[in-house]
Amino acid sequence: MSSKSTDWMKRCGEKSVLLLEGKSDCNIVKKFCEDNEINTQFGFCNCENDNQVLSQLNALLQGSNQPEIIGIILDADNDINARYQEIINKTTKFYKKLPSSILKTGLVHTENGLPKLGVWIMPNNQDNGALEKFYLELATDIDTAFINDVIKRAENKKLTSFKSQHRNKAIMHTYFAWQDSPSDPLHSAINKIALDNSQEIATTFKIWLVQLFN
Amino acid sequence: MCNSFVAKNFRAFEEIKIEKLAKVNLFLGRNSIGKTALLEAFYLHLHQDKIEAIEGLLVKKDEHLSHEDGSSSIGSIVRHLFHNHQLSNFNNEGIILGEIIKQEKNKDKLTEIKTIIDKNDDEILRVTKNSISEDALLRNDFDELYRHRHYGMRHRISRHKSKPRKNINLQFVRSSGSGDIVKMWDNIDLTDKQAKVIEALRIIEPSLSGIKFVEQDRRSRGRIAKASIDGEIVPFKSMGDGINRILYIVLSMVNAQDGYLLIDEFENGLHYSVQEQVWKVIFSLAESLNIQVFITTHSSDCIKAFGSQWESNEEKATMHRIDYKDKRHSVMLYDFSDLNDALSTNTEVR
Repeated sequence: MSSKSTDWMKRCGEKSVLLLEGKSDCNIVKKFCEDNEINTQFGFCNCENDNQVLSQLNALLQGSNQPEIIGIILDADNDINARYQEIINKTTKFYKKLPSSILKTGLVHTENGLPKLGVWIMPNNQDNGALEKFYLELATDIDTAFINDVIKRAENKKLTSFKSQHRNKAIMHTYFAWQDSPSDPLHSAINKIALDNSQEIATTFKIWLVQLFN
Repeated sequence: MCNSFVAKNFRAFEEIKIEKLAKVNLFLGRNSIGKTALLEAFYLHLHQDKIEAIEGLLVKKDEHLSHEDGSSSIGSIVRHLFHNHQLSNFNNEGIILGEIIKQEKNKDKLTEIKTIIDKNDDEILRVTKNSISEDALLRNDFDELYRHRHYGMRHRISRHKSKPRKNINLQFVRSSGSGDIVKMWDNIDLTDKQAKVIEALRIIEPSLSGIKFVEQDRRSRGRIAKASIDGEIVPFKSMGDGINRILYIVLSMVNAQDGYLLIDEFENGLHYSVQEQVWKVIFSLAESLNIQVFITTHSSDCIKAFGSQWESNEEKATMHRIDYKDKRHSVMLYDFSDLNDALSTNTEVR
């Protein structure tokens, strides 16, 4: 079998596995781990979208090769509480003791005989939003306010069609579109941006990853 | 219909419990996990004539043949049905099969096979269900199991009169072979069930117009199945595994009206492209002929094909994987949405 450059995000059958919503998510979290020297002895599993993260989670719990550790990273989007509830509903057959709401520090949960379960809801387990918001917090070189103004002008001219929950995504990709070279794939574009890993959100996320997988 | 099932001290199982069953039930699991044993447990429990069922199960696996030490006593052979091939201790709990009971008063609905020492100090194998017991001397020769019974060893241990026996249809489709297809065909003579069989066979051979069971030449005895295809008469045996498997499955099924059908390794001989249609026939006949079906598989094609029919019959089916972990059997129940999650993420269910 030929190995593709995205094979590393298809390691869904590992004993320790991290489920993510998409390719960008995988790239950003991988870079975060590299920058912070977090041991990535777990498999990245790109599930393509949020529903498939939940399906994959259930399938792994039900399946004949149950992992030892499962982490999931989902976007809160427009309702963080609803998102967390979805996770509870999907795992209710297995986990009986999940806390009723998610902590600011993310969830690392163990229950007898079941895989250790980690849940992180982007951006920070508290606010609505998505991974891009988390990323822009750390990418302090990106002048998000300025780019947002530009986007607003485009909106006023009715040149845009993105959904409201994707505003940060639009900001991020607008920024990348202005760099050399504009068509760089995300994984090489993000490698050119320094992240400020001393931000509180970075520290919290790092602790969550380490607690879950190490 | 069985709504749940428990088997204790039987074959590979110290205990296995299945909380939920439906009309059509699929069981998965890796090799030698006990899938066939589970079907045997159903067979033994659902069979009207326990002694015949016990004999049938043991003979099928050549377990009735004498052991190296020359012993062929009932005890030395029937022990193979017990967990770890060891008879239960005298007067202890033996093999228990049946629906999971919530109340003690329903205990007599269970099938129990145990060893006891009777008042004459004889070592006895006792098979009990519905307050009717049948006893056999453990030291007797296995071949006499039948004869023994007809000597009047059967007795009732309950003071209540047992209800007259209703004949319940029960068919066991083995992983290979073809069963007694001649007898099963004759049983449905002059009924519309023959048309159902032909219809099912057309899944593989669309131009098949009829079946006939004809006498063979003088060298061999009995009748063999032949098919009429485009005016040609062709023996079934020459037609490939798939159509013979369907003949065996569907003939067994139409012979199981108002009863039970067990199919071991459904997929054997069946190309994945036809499995979906065979499942369609099974779901449809299970409903129209009122048959509860128990099927095993270890093929992912079979699971996928089953899923395609399950989708429109969610309440009518269950799927379980049999697991063995920490020296215990357990089952993982799948709902349709669980199977859907597994199929859409390509996650192994078997």
